[in-house]
Order: sequence, then C-alpha cells, then structure tokens
Amino acid sequence: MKLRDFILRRLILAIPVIFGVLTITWFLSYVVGDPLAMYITERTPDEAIPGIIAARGLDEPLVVQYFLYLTALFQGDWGVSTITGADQPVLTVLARLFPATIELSIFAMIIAIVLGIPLGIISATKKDKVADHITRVFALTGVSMPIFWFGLMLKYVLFFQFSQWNLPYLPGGDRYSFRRYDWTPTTGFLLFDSLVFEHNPGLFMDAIIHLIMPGFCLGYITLAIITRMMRSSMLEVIKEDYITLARSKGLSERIVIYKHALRNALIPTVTVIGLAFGGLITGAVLTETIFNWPGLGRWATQSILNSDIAAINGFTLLVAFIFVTANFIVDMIYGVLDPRIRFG
Amino acid sequence: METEVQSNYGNETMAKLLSIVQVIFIMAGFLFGGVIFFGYLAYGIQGLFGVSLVAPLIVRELILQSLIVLVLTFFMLRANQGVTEHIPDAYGTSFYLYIFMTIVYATMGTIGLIFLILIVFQLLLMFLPGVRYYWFAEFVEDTRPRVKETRFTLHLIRKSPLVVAGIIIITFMTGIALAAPWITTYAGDEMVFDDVRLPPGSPSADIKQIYQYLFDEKTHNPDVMPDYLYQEIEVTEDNLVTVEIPELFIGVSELTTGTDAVSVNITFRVYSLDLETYDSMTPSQRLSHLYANASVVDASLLEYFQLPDEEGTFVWELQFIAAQKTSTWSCYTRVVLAYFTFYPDHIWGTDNYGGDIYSRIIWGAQEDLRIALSVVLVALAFGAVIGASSGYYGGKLDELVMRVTDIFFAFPGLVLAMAIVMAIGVRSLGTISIALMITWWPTYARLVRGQVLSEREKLYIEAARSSGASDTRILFSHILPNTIQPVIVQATMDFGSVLLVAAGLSFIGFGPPVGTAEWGMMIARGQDFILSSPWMTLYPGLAILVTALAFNLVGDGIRDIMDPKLRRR
Repeated sequence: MKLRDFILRRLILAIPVIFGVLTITWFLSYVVGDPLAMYITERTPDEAIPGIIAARGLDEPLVVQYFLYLTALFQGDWGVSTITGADQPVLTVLARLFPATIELSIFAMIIAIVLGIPLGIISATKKDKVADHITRVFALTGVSMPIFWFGLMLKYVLFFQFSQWNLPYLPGGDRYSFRRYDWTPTTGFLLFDSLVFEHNPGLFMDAIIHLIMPGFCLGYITLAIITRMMRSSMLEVIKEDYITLARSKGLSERIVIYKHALRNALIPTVTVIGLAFGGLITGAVLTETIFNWPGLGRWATQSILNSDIAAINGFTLLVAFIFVTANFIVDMIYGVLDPRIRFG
Repeated sequence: METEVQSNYGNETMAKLLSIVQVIFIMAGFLFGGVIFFGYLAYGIQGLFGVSLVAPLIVRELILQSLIVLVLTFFMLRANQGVTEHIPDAYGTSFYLYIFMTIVYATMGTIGLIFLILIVFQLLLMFLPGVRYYWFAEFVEDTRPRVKETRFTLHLIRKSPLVVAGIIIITFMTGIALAAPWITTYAGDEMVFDDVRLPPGSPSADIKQIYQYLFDEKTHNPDVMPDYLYQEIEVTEDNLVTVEIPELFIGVSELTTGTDAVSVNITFRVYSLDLETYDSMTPSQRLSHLYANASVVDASLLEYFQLPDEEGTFVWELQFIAAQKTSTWSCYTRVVLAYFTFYPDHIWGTDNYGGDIYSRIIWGAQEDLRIALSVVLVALAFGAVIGASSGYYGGKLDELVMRVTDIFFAFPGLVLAMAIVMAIGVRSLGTISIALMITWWPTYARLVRGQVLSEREKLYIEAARSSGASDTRILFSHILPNTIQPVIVQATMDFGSVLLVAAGLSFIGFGPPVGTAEWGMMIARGQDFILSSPWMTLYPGLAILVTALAFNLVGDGIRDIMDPKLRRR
C-alpha cells in the first residue's frame, strides 16, 4: 500500500468517529439535557423564547432536530456562551482562548520529552538498580498525582513560601505581568507575538517565567508516561539480536544504546507522545483553573460552575476534534517510521 | 455396581436441588433487576415526551444497581446452562463466578443482600458431597498447574519491594475506610462553626452541647402519654466535663383539647431526691425537696432549669390536670437534658466550615474507594462481555463495536465525564460514578477483544469446538479465564486513575453537596485558603496520592511479573 492510500484510508476511518462525536454531544445536550439551554441566557426576554424554539426547530421530531443541529454546527453556529458577560458566540470565544491553551500544552510537552526520554533510558540501562527504582517511583508518582493538587502545592512552595523567605520566586498565575507590559494579541500566541510583533524580549522572558510552573505541573503526567514507555520499549529492544550483534562487534555501550537501540525504542514512544497530547488538553482544564491561565480549560470550568451548556458542548467538541487529529497525526508518523504498519 | 448406581441417584437429587436454587436466583435477578431498570426507563421515556415526571431519588439510585444485577444474572444464565447438563467444567466456571458475585453483591447494600444470601447458599451447595461428585476432583486436577503458577507469582511478588509496599498501603487504606466509625473523631458532615481553619493539632474552641431526650412524644394515647409521669435523672461526672452547667429543658406546646375544650393545668417539678425516696413520700412531703417548678394553664410551657454544678440525683415530674377526666387532649411534649463536653482535638486541623480534616479524610476514603470499586467492576463486567463477544464472533459486530469504542476514545476521559455529568444534571457521587462507568468501559472492551482474538485461534479452543461445545460455553469457560491476567493488571491501575478523575471532577465543581466528605471536594475547598491554611489542601491530596500510587505500584509490578518475556524461571 502506498503512503497516499494509507492516509486516505485513515481519513475515511476518521469520518464515522467525527460523526459519532457529534452525535454523542447532541445526545447529551439535546436528549438527556435541556436543548433550549444552549440558545437562551438570563438576559433573553421571555417573549423571545417561543420564537427561539420555532427558529431552532426544537418542537420538531428528534430526527429533524438532529439534522438541524448538524447544519447549525457546520454553518459555524455553536450556540451562545453566557459567562463571558457579553453573550458571545461560542466559536468566537474558542478562537480567542485556544492559543493560550496550545502554548501551555506545547511548553509542557517539551518539558516532558526533554526530561522523559533520558530518564527512561537511564531506567532501562540500569534495570533493577537504585537509579531504576527511583526513576520508576518518580514516574509512578506522576501518574498517581492529582494534577490540581500538585499545582496548588507548587504554587504554595515556589510562589508563596519563596516570597516569604525573600528568595527569587515564580509568579503564581497569569500569562504575563500585565501591570508591567502591554500586549495586544495578534496571533494570540504570546511567545510568538512578543518577539515578532511587539519586539519586546522583556515580555518574552516574562512569559517564559510565567510558563515554568504551570508547564511543569501539566507536563509531569506526560513525563511519567513517556518515561515508562521509553523504559519498557528500551528493555525490549536491548534483547533483540541486532543489539547483541552490535555489542559483539565491539562497539562501545554508549554507541550501542544511543545509536542502535534508541532509534528503534523511540517508535512506540512517539505514539504515546501523540496520544498524551490529547491528555494534556484535559489536564489543562485543571491546571488553568489553578494558575489562572486565560485559556480554554479555565473557561470550561467557569462554564460548568455557571451551567453554560453551549460552552461545555463547544469545548467538548473542540477537544474531541483535537484528540482525533492528534491520533491521526500519530498514525501518519507511525506509518512513516515503521513501514510494516503501512503494508500490514 | 449397585451401590454406585444408588450413590449416583443420590447425587442427582442434590444436583437437582442446586439447579432449582439457580433457577430461583436467575428468576429473582431478572425480575428484580428488570422491574426497577425498565421502570426507570419508562420514567425516562415519559420525560422525552414532555411529561415532567421525575423519578423518586431512591429509584435513581437503584437503577444502577439493578443494571449490575441484570448483567451479572446474564453471566449466571450462561454459566448455569452447563451445570444443569452436569458438564464438569461448567461447574468450575460457576465456582469462579459465584466468588466474583459474592464480592460484588457484598458491596451493594440492601439490594445485594438477598442475592448475597442466595449466592452464598449456592456456593455452599457446590461443596455438598452430591454436587461435589460431578466436578471437584476434575477441577482440582485442572487447576493444579494454575495453582503452581500462582504460587510462583506470589513468590515473585514477595521479592518485589514496590509491589509489597503497594499491597500494604491498599490494605491499610481499605482497613481505615471500613473502620471509619470507630477511628474518626467527628462525623463526616459535622461542622464546628467556632473552629474555622484551625491549624493541625489545635484543640477545639467550641463546646459541644449534647441533648439527651428523656421524653419526646406527641400523642393522644394515655398509655404513652399519661397525665402524670416522672423519671429519675442522675448528674454524673460525664455531664460535668466542662465549666458549663447541665440544663434541663421542658417543652409543652401545641396543646389541643378535644371537642369539650376543657382547660388543662400543666405542672413541671424537679425534686432533689432519688427515685426510691420519691416513691416512698407523699406529694406534700416531696414539696420540701422541691428544686424547681413551673406551671401553666392552657398554654405552652417552655423553660430551662439549670441543675447544680455537682454530681447528684434528681427526679422530674410532669403533671397534666384536666378539668374533666374524660376529655381527650394532646400536646407536643419534650423533656431534654442538655449537657456539655469538649470537642475532640483537630489532629490535622479544620477547614473553612469547621469540618475536621482528619475525620473527613477517613470518611472520604470510604466514598472514594467505593466509587473506584464500583466504576472499575461495572466497566470491567460490561466491557468484558462486549469485547469478548466482539472478538469471538468478529465480522459486522466487531466492526460496529470498534467504531463505537473509537468514538469514546475520541474524548479525553475527564471531558466526556464532564459532559455526561452536565447532561444528567444531578450533582452527586452517584452521578460521577455513572459518568465514569460510561467513560471507562471501552478500555476494557478493547483490551478483552485483543486478548480474545489472540486466544481464539489456539489449539485447545479448536479441541473444545470439535468436542461439540457451544460458542458461548467456549467463550465463557475457556477463553475468558485465559485472558484475565492483563485485564486484572489494567483494572488495578484503573483504580488509581478512577480515583484521580473522580477527584478532578469534584474539584472543578461537579462534586457532591457541600456536606459530603470527598477528597477532591476537600482540595477544592482548600484552594482559596492555600496561603493561610495549607493543611486544608495538603492532607486530602496526600491521601489521593498515596492511594493512587499504591494501586499503580501494584499494577505496574504485577505487569512486570506476569510478562512472560521478563519472567525468569
């Protein structure tokens, strides 16, 4: 099978999934919940409600409603979010908040990869030694830690206690020190904007400093997952014949591990990294709440507390799309890295 | 020869008895589970058509349990087909199933109780000599290699310090959760309003008032409510713990006289006498020992009497004198002894409502472990049946199941659970469990399907098929037991994940009502006070961390041990 056919087949397989996702959100908000709640707010006058019901076709049979819902979605009409104050369309809000979340997630991912892969290698090469045990407990702690609690504790120590002890401390929230710097979002990605549009290295550094704590908090789980995956795939690869051959050729252990074993062990790790990206977005819901990060997650939490159905629906849909896309990209990379999958 | 025939005859009666019990059990399961489940479904469908009938709360709680009952009964039906035909290995499957069901029903409260009794009865019947004849020897023979393997696994577990540590922590946490009523110092929803955000180890700033109801009645019945009643009260050391003086409260209110509207004279007296002396005296003699009294005609009598601040014995006496003996009258009467004790110390401090963190963590262990257990068991049972059928039968069914799980996998767990809770609209621990069960089953369906696929083509399945075993028999008694190990590993680790996601859900505001002790809720409460009172956040978070870590340690360790590639002999 050619690469093009492979991509096409994957794309076709993604279509029912996306329709399923749409159906589930429709089912949850229209059948189980109150469908009208998506289109009205507290500021909607009572007289307007029958008009909305008729316009949205909420008095039609369920099947008709389903198609009306799909049509509305594809036309970019995702309902109205009430919590932003001005009753903005959900799609506008999503577009505005999306860059902040993506920036945080990518930063967290970089931390996770940079720390996770070396840790996994150490753990595998020193199997059943003290270093291995420590790394494993460290990784397992990451998986077992409630991320919101970890964030709170980081904030308490690195922000509050350090400032109490007159040590240099990390900022406790927000994307940048808005009292010191001005920033009008152009693309919404602060790191990018500050250098390209604002020409302000001070703002760039400030943004990096603000990213450290939430980024590490969010990245820890992914770090743990990557470390574990790296360890187990490395352990498997080390047992392969070609590694034995490389060793018997008299190559140094260093070259065997980093040149021969690492490349092959990376393949399963790449999958995990791709899948973990979706998990990062979930984690962002909790992390952003704690670090007052003006992204999708904090917005979703506020919508929950205010029963803003349209917002939750939009958020769920967007995250599902990101997830499906991430899986798709992972499949692609996997197909390129490992020809057996393409031809299998 | 003849004796053998006779003994076989005896065996058959016992086996028939077992069959009858099984039939009763299955009928009860389908009837009970079905009635509640479909009853609720009817409510739901009515709701769709705009009839705003809300199911009573009890039904909403039972729906889930009834679903579990239905699923388990279905398993049972499958397993029992072989037993009624006296096929030896069917008995073995049933045996495992009984043990599994005993555990599940034991966690299910009142509904489970009837089924628990029946299932334990069946389990006992399996070991009666008559029934044992059919399966036991063969079962032991069959399981011998498995027992040997398990011994070896146990040996490996004992040598792995991390797994042992995990098991110890899990046992410890479960023990704490079960012993909660005895080791906590406060009730889960108890709040002491004067003790807001006290640091760990501080004594309570408030004094606890204890009400001892000596009499509490509203009735016409002269047997319960005579017109003259008296009782001894003893003021002991226990009543004098604090500097406050014990009080005796008399409350007579809502006096209604019958149709004849006679006037009623109510007199309340407290004598400093013991009961024996009181009985031996005439009313006029008693008056010289009068400690306090109050009386009123045709009105409410609400009064406090402070008893002296020393140990002593008193008799209280309440008299109703109606103008006409025959008249009927009634009133709400209460006699209450109020005394004071110190609240216990707050070992790990208090939260912003004055709840005791230490006690709430222990009560929370009960709630959180119950959620984790129910979610994993139900998702496992449901996912296993779907995944196994999908893998075994293949074809269109398999394709359909895989696409459905794909859709579920398109949502990150927390986000889907959020949407479900939002749609259900009731914020409680039950809703969280249901949302997580819906979110979690595809994991197990995928896992079991993969296992079944790899197992399906093996030689022993071919052998079973050629010996005429039915598809369901092969699936449930041959394939499933052999695919269980990776599922167990996954389930162990999922206990930890479910704990985390459930805590996360209640942290972002899907939590149960304010009073409920749940770890995620406690952290959520603490986050606004993190700078001034970090203990509110620290301890519940540690509880989650330690418990989830223990499950992950065990799961991770067992996976290494079970892995044939890493297993050394």
